[in-house]
Amino acid sequence: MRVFSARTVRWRGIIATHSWIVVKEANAPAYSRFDCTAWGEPIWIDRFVPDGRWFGRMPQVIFAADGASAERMIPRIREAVRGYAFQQLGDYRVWPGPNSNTFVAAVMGSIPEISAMLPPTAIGKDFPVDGRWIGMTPSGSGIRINLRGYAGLTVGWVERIEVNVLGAVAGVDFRRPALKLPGLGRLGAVATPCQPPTPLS
Amino acid sequence: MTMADTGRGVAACYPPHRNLTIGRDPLAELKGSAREWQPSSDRNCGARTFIPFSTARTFFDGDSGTQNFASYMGTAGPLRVENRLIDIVAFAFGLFFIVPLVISAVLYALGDRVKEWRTADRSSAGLLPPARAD
Repeated sequence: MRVFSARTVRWRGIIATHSWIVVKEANAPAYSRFDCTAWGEPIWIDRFVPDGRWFGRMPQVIFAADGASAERMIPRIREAVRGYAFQQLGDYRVWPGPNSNTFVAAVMGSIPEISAMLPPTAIGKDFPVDGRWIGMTPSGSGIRINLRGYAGLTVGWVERIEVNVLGAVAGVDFRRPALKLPGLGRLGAVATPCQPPTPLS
Repeated sequence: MTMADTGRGVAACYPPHRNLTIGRDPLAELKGSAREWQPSSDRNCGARTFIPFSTARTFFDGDSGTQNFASYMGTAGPLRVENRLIDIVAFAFGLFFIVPLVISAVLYALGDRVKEWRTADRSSAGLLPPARAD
């Protein structure tokens, strides 16, 4: 199971990245890729190469899980994709969301074992899918105040401290020292080391 | 508090300047501060106001001069703190939001841009092993 993120198309890549999820069960012959896009019905399955460049931009692995831990996550990921709240035609909004990053953040948030978060350039990741202004962070490790994606403040163990102004996110990570800056992303220590493969039981 | 003699009155700087104390010889102190104070670079100055000489002199009548000044500034104090906060927030916004976006835009302009998204490379980046049934 992988979460990828890559700079978006054309000038929008200055400020934003696009995220997607890839899974593959042990016995599956192929990967399954889940995207949320602005083209037609939002949820796209297997419409792009699983680890493909996003219109020329190199993707980055945000989270990786293999083996037994991935096997446990995949059914819940598929369930979260099916249950995503904004998958009707017209639901997608580039800014401030719900967009591709909102979708991936929502799926990640439904799997507590995913102790990672999307980069600060993933505009839309903080859009509150439940419509609440105040709530727990997607990781469940902190509190988030969010004004429908236009502004917000997040303080959490996984998310650290983030300030959202018009979708642009700046923040600081004390646990793995780094600055999070809009447009530039994370500067400093790697956010979440990839999980080592665990043997299937 | 620091003050600068402008000829017509006193430009007062609040909060206090560390290197200056107000004593019983007000005019000497004022002249001294006028040489020290450079308004464009005085980072200790949170706010400035202009006080006529006639008013300024009353601050130094007796030992309570400083208290008199504090009382004079009292109503304007909160507004000055608020202005300082606005300055800090504006600076932080510029530093943490505007500057990074400008740098990102410059990097985009200088980097290898995809000119035609329809023909852009969407091939595998080689981040996944080949799929096969295990």
